[in-house]
Amino acid sequence: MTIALISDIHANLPALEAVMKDIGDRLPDAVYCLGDLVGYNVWPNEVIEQIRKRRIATLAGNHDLKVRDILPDAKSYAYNIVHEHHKKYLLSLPAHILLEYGEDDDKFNMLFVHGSPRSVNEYLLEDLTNRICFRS
Amino acid sequence: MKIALFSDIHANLPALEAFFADVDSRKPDAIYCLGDLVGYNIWPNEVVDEIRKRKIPTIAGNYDFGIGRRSDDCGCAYKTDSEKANGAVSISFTNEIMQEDQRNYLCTLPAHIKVEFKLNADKLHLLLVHGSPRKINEYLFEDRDEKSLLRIMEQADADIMCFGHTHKPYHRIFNSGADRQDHFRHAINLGSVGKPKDDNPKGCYVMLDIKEQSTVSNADSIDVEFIRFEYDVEKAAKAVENSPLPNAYAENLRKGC
Repeated sequence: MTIALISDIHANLPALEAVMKDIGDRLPDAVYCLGDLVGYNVWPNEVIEQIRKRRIATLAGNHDLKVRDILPDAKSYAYNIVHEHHKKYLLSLPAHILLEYGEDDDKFNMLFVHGSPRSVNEYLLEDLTNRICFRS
Repeated sequence: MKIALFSDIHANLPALEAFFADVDSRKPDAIYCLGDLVGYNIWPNEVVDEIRKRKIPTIAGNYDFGIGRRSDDCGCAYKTDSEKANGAVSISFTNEIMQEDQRNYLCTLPAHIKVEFKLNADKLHLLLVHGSPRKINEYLFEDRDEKSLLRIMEQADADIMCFGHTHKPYHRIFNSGADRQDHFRHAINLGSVGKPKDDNPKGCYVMLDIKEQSTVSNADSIDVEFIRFEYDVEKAAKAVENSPLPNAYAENLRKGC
């Protein structure tokens, strides 16, 4: 089976529409979204609506959780414009999704997280040493 | 968020189509399928196609596992000789009509999906399995001893465990907390979309509502709704009768047994 994985849309509706069109052409068997639907652009509600309408299994990113405690100031604009019912959706999203494959003697797991399994806002950059990657 | 969960379609396309119409009208935020897409009716390929088309995260049931490997054993616990004979006809018929691409999909499905919530820093783990976390074809019936169910859930680190396989829906809540610290665990059998066995021919599925306030310390903070829907039972029953499948399966659909 083919699995499409997307992440960090950040309220960019034109980008989401383009990725949905591209994914639609490739006919994957499942789609997961690894979070950060909002922040940095003007279409958080439209992005959330698209993701919810398509019932894409989605994780909470660190930006999604920011809608919990926002101040009504200019710096928080991108989060303040999120509708109340969409805030409830963001705050009820799971942190991780784990797919467990195989049988007793031949198992493997596929783990989806936003930042790292330890923290929603830990950065796992490409040059991280293998030692840390395997430990976490 | 609203999560729709369904299971045990068993190649019943009219039931699956009616399920989609019903679930679409309720606008869930996510849908998961807990397996057994095939067996006992004539549309195994069409059911696989519909689920793939909608990109629904799906786990393997015991029948999917058997057909995926072209096995003649579906791992079902048939009791009588006639059940065994009928079961042999069903798996051989399904193996015969299953197309290669759809079969390959079945044998690459995961065994479990774990959805881990961290709401208000409280962890809440939703585990999706077909039979039980230990075995794809273990039957967890409603009358199972509380200790046994609790042990299964604790070992699998499941606060909410959803499963199918028995085709008989139920929701039981246990408190596994200690030292006056409540820890409620939910065992939820989804029933069956396409082969109900609880003396009700209507299809069955579950809508789960997880909110920011949902927590293991409050049993009522998680909403679980069982939804029954009508479908064209006669169409599904006639399809069985007009196929090499045993007529008993048509009667089972009409009676919901």
